[in-house]
Amino acid sequence: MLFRILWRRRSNSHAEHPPFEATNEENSPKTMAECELPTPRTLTAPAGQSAPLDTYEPFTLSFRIDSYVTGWNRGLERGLAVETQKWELAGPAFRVLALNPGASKIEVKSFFFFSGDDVPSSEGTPANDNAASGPAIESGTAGPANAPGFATHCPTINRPRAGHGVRCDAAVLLERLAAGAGHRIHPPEDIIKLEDRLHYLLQPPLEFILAQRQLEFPHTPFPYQLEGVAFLFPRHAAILADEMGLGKTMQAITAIRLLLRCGEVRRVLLVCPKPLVSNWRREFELWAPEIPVMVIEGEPQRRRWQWELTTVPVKIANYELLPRDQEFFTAKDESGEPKVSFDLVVLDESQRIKNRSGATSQAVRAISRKRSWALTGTPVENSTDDLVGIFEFLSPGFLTPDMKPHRLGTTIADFVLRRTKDQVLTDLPPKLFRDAEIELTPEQWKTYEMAEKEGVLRLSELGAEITIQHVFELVIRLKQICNFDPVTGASAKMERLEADLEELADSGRKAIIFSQWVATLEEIGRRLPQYRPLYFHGRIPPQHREEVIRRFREDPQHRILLMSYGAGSVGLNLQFVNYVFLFDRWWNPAVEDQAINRAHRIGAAGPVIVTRFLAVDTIEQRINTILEQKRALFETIFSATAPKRLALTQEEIFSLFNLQAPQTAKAA
Amino acid sequence: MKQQDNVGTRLSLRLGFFTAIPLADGGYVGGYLILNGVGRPIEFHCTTPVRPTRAQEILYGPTLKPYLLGEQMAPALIAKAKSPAEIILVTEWEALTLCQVVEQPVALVLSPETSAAVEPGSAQSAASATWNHSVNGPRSPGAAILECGALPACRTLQMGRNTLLVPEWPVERVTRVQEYLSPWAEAFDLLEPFGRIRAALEEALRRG
Repeated sequence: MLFRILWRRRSNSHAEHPPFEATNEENSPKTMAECELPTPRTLTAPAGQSAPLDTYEPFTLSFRIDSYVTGWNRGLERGLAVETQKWELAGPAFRVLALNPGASKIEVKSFFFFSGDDVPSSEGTPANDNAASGPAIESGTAGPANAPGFATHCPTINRPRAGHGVRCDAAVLLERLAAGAGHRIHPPEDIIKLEDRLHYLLQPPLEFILAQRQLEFPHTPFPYQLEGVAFLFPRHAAILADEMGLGKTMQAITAIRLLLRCGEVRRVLLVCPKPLVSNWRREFELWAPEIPVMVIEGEPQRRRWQWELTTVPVKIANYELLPRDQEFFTAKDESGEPKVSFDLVVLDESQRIKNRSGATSQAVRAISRKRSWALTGTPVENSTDDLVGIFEFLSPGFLTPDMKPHRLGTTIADFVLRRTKDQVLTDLPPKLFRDAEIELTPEQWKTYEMAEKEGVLRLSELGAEITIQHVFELVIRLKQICNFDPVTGASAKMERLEADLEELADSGRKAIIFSQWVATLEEIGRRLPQYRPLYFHGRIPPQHREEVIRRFREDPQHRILLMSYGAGSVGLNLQFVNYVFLFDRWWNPAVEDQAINRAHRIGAAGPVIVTRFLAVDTIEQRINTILEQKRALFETIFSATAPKRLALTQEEIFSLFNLQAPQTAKAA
Repeated sequence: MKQQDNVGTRLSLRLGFFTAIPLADGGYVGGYLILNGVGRPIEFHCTTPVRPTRAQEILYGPTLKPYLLGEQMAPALIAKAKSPAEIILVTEWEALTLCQVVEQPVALVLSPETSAAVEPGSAQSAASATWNHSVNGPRSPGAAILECGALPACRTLQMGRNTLLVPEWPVERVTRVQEYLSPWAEAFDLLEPFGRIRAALEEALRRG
């Protein structure tokens, strides 16, 4: 019979799993009781190992096996059949694969920059002869201002002064940086060389630079102003076209200051309208007190010397001077190089050079220079030609007069930065416009219609003799009738104004009323004695103007200020005024903007409500329609809010009366 | 005068910043920026795209990135520098292996998120937090690297608003590093220059 002997390990760790079993080799029929259990076995270790692996012992299976007389018992006496099976243990020969990770081949490109504050020019060489003295410039003790004889020979130079401002609030700047609101200098698209582009990309954010240097400023610049500085800094051709009141002057001066201090430029020329020269000098004192500034003025010999002086970092000249001084700044030395050259020329109110064939434009373009910037809130006043004119200075040939507005907009995108107050001064109270459409009184209508009919007839009779001046005279006459009827004194606008003023008088607020004519202002004043009006126009002597403003600000009895458009000049801040009335409209909305912004600017106490009077079905409405069309053109080019800065052209003035402008008509 | 001295000291200081940006195909480009103590760039070195071989991927497994960044790219870039940096800062934990290759002190600048999760002075906490905030997520290869000991034991070092993860240096070295970094780190964000490197690398890639 067949039975099994089971083996179990002596240790009990694997007792439940017998490691192996063996078949009894006895071939006689014996019961289990008759079988002798084998002796315990020890599994031996493989060759080379001495210790036994484990010891096993047999154990008894306690059950009985009975034999029956069935005829099968004989079969039990036969030997067990043993079958063998051959197993091939050896496999195929192993193959060895060698994996060599190796070192990656690494190519490195290297760029080296000048160290310290002597930041390299993008050409790779320092523009400043004093570049080696970068750290000294940092401390404000070296540089052109300290050149021998510098101050003693230049009486018109603003002397570098001890700091009078407050240090830039480093904590504020660093907080902006930590909040991820830092302003980096991004290379303009026209910088091609990778090295030059990386040079700008690797500069620290402006906040970092300002905080490090502890520059003095009257106040910590607004983020959008730093954006403007970061825009100007790397550019060789740029237009900063911010809306008026956002601080183009400050942004330009700060960019110039940084360029001077890091040695990228050393000679800067600023050109502005003559009335703004003193303003620019004042602004430099305010925003860059350590930078010496010279105003080019005086007798020709003196001016020649001033033009050729090389030790002054910033010179200011006015537009009117340039055509006269062209021979001074275009003179060549023995080697044929210009005697006078600048690293940077900045044009303020650059729309002055929109006429490419004008003497001013030609003179400006003749100045030898490396960088050209233009500052203007009105890059397009009349047509796209204005922009082409400015670009002839910035980058000659870059724009052509036949370019469509949309293409023009995309082409200049990298060169122009324009922001409006609505975009950047989110804390500024709103400016609300009310267009008051006024219907003339019957008396006014009668006078108006007669004047227009007669005027147009007279213009037609002039034929080829007609000039823009003739048309202007008629426009002015009609506009004046829209204000007051010269025959009866009737005025629909005055009636409306009186009603509005009564309302705001109850609230204790003050108002400014603008007109382009002093006579109109005086007439308004005569009719509103209860508001104790004050006057601020061209006939008020300059020395009295400040007193007028002081009284208007401080004396609650003076409720209205009657102001002419022309007198609302730069630096006049009337933030305490909440109401502005435009009694008549100026030719160019830029001037209106300037007027409105006397009240609506940083520091304004509340919303500014601007009421624009417009006599319907009159010349005023026709002018307004043309100006609206120009706003649309501006929007197409700059994709921004309408700037309202588009003056009438000669052709458009003629078209007001369905007249054709003659070729010989003189400019307005 | 003292201010000038400070400025002079800062101008002569050299700080190295290394980082790498991943490419879509699995490779990397690395950049090494050397700044002076007032944050101006002195040198910039960048690699062409470096792509690991299949053999490297297999053999290095989870340690591939530390190998590429810390043992291949960063040393190659640093070798090109003319102005040796007194200290090298990195922003990927994988690049900390660089400290076993170069002589200069190497420190990892922790992001604010990671810093917030670190218990001051706790090496284990710093390491865990770093791994857990690594780009690959928690229990990513970083954990395996930590367990297999490929990176040195680290501790945190607080410098102003910045938290650094540094190897267990001798006290003298820690003091020296603190002296070097204090003009910067007390006031400025040491992560900022890495943004410049990334912008420069992207520009270099764009311009070919």
